[in-house]
Amino acid sequence: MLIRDVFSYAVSAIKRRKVRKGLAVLGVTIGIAAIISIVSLSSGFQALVNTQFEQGFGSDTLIVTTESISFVDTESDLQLYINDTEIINNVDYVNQSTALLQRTCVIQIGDQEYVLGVVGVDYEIYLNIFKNTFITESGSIPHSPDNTSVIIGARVNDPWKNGSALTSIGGEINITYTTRSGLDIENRTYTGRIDGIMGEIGGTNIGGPIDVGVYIPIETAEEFFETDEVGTIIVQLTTSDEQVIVQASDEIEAAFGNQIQVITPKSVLDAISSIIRTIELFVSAITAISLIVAGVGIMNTMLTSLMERVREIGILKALGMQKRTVLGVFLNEAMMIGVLGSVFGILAGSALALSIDQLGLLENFTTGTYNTVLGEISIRPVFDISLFINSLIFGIMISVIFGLYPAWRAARMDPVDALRHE
Amino acid sequence: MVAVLQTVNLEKNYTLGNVTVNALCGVNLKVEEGEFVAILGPSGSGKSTLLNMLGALDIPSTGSVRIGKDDVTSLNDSELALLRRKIGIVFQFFNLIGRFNARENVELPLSIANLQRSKRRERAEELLKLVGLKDRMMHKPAELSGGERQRVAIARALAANPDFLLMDEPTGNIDSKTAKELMTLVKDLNKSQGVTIVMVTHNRNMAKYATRVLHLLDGQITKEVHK
Repeated sequence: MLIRDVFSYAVSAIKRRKVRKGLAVLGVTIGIAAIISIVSLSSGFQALVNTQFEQGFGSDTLIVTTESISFVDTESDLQLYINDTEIINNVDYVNQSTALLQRTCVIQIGDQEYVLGVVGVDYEIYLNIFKNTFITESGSIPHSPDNTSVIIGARVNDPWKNGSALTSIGGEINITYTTRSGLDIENRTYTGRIDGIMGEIGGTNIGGPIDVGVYIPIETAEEFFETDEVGTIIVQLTTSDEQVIVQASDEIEAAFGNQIQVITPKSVLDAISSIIRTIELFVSAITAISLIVAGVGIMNTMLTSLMERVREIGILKALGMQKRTVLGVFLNEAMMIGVLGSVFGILAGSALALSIDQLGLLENFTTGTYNTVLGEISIRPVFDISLFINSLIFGIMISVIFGLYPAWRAARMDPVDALRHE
Repeated sequence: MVAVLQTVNLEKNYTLGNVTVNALCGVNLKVEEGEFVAILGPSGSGKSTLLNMLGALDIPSTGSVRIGKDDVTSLNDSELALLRRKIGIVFQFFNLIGRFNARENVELPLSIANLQRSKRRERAEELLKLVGLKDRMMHKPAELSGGERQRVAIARALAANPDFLLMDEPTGNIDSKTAKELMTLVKDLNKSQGVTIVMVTHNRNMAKYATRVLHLLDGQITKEVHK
């Protein structure tokens, strides 16, 4: 039988039992759609993380922190102080460094109140390290700021993202810090002056400027929070050479008796990527199981179809159809279910991922933790041609594998028994 | 004359549970080109078993079946399938594919034999005209009468230019008037087209159309009548 005839024979058989075969196709469609939407969105998440890192962080930047990135390790009791930058600056290949003195405060701006992290930094060094992101859209970052200078992120001034500014350059901002000494709880407030409002940055920036950030001179922070203890020091090296990064990291850690952590952007990116990959793998495995269930559905459909068509198989064999052609005819039917299901699945999965994006279901996903602040995240699905091809191959493969047994049974049927079948 | 079909000491045994049934016990027959042979016998005489052997659908227990130059017992599955393409079988219950129309049913053996679509369409139409179904080509079996269905089955059996036509009770499922018309057609195919025909039947009236009648009883040929 010519290949074209095998195809048209399979099509005629599929057309005959539209509902049953349609349900088998639907099973594959759901599985493939799930894979396409999940993988495209997680690729989108991965792309977002990569972009944010490239944009916000130079590969020559290190984060020195007392906090552990691991959930298992215990944190060190060793504290970092503002002046520790002097120790760090003495390490080879260190260009400059600045401490981040961050505390959570209540911010009052116009008639709006927020609880936000207020970060004390050395404006000049911070600007040198984060050239691409610590940029004001209006106003400017003063070289020698007085102690009332405040720089705010775009979202602090325009929380609803609709252009309705709460304040303008030179406007007042009240910063209230709550502290306690024994049973006494004290609210300390000072009024700052807005010198600069940053442009939109978007996304995550570990240690870097963010849209919901409030930045004040480090001297002001030290005086206002009455401490020089810091959680993080940002370090910029003279080069982004990997060996230098490792060497400088080791030396900085050694300088603090290995009681602190030095995090490189690459290690953070690798850690996040590894988590994303693990989640992606896990979810893909679950969706793969749904495809296997669809495969069992195909096998069931094909076996039922086989039972109904025993006599037909007998006729085909009596007319001289060879075993391998009977096998081909039935495998072709299973494969067509796979092809249809996969194509519909790719379309449905892409449509699902795009509609999640269009409806903004994954936008404004904002969270923040002390010292590791995540800004606004907007995940857009990323469609890779290899994802489509692999899904198509996988869907067809599952269908053919599960169609193999019914096809094999059809092929080895005895013509006399088959023709006698009622 | 050339023998298109020959059996020598053909035996076929079945095991049904613990009982061995000797369906055919040493059948010797020879059919020559252009003959119209009827194998007449009551039910249980081994007619269907013999037909399966002659159609290369089954393998004998002992003895041999020679179709043309091929000995059925020496062929593998694939070779048997190819051999079946040289035999046109007409079944009692028509055995047409329900989702195909008359023309597509007739095209099926040609499609199995890898013939191009245009050529097989032409051949199918020509055969359907020959069996008097010129205007019913696009009808599905369910839309045809019993006699018409059997005509389609005959056209299908003739499609691949078989060495001979094997008919299993071709009139067993149609009324007597239609049966007569059908047998006239079969007789005509034999006479005017020179088609070799082997027909299995229990009906003496139908056997009368044949040029030679072999009586089968308890798996043996008991009598042979020439006309």
